[in-house]
Amino acid sequence: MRFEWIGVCLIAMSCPVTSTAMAIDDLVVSGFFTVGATRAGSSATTDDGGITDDVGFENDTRIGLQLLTHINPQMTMTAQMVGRGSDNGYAADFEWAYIDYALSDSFNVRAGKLKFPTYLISDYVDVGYSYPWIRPPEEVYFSNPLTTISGVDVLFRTRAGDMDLLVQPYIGSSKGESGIVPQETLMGIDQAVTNALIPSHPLQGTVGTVQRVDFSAENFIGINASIGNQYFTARAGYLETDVTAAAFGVVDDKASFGSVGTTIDWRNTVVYSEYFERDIQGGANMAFPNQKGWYTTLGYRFGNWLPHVTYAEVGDNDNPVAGCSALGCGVPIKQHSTAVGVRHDFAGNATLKLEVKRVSPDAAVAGMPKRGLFLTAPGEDVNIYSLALDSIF
Amino acid sequence: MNIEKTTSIIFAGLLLVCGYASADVAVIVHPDNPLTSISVDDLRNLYLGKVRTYPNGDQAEIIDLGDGTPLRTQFYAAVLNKTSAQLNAYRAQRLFSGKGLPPNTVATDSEAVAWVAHNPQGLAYVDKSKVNGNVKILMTIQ
Repeated sequence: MRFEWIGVCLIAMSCPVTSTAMAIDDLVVSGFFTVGATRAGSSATTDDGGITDDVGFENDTRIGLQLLTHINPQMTMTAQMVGRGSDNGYAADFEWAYIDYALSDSFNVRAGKLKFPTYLISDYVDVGYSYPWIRPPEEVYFSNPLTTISGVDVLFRTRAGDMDLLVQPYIGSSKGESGIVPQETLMGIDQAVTNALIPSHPLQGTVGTVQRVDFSAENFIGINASIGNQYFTARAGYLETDVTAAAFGVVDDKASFGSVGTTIDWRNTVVYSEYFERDIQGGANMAFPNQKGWYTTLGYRFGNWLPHVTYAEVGDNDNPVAGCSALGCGVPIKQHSTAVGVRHDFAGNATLKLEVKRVSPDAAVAGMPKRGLFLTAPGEDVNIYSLALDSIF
Repeated sequence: MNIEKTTSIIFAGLLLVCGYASADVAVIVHPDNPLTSISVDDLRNLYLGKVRTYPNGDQAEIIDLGDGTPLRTQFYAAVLNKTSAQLNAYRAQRLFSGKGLPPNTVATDSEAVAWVAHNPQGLAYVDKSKVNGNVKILMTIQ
């Protein structure tokens, strides 16, 4: 899983600790890899363009490389780069780049670029090997287009009886992000008013399609708390930030996320379940309306096989219909889905996964196209077939 | 008679599947370590990376065997009640979200014995038959 040269070797007569070819003084090299194929069963494209009715390898294929080194006994430096098939030519981005200062065994401060935990698996969402699905349910995980901040977090970990407690506050900001905006929003908006307000970015999309918008998030503050033991974890999280999207004339509109979730791995039973609410104020609501959603996954492990089934849903979270901005308010996305899948741990560090997800996009408002999380309304339920190989090294 | 025959075939099949004879696993430390025993809970917490010290507060350095070795599978089934894949997934979650590094590994339990013999803070699990006078046994798992 990793190779490393440790000082202990100097004391020992020989060097029994595993160190393969790339042994550099105290550098821990590790990584993860997913190669995945996707196909939509009918003429449909997901809203980020990732999955279409052709067999595609870009949506899930990615490679991550992590380097960690000790600066001194209390401080480590970590960099994690991820290259994605969905990015042009697998251009690698830093997902993590931070210094960790361990004040004690139970108290760490980390500063730099951090992946923050909006949801249960957000901070290791790229590591397909570490969870049952090929990708976590979109109905919940799509809702925060932001996954990293530049800032500081604190990991406070303690134990009470056989329970592990984690409290993780974080602060920071993020620039140059991009989100997908539903064009249902345009319903009822006077195009002349729109174009006058946003000359650089005329909202000329069609109802039932999407558009991308660039934004930044400042005064980002959040907290993640969890309790668990070796059989279950329960967590709750809250975060808020001020969103600025120049193209929409949006400046410092408040956005907040609240979520709860649990995961169980007891005997052979595996459960994942999460619920979230998103609240976005002002003009930013047009691009990112108030949503809520949830999913539950049930699985049962037979040796190295883990078949599982998931139901997921996303809908309106009492989104206002008027008064958000001169442009109006957004229109929430509605969709539900059922997925069946299997994970097969066929080798120590590698797993093969197969999934079929039946997605039912719903109309945001009665009479509007049933778009859900697709690029354009598919006009029917869509089966999405996915196959992936995940490994860690 | 047919039933009897079928039964014996099934038994033969089961023997083939379960034929791997499990070894006695010894949990070992350096002879200078003041501990004389350790609980399964403490072992579990050490190997899950939840604690980094012995019950008496001394710093602990644990060593793991390579993935896929039968002894490792046996140890994690007995102490953690987890398969290798479950443990690897758990460790990957921690490693790639910056919450903790997995333990260092050695290829064989003979190397683990040698490593513990040279490391006063060391702890390892090995086949009991590999234990020599340079290390001390804290626990034996059948």
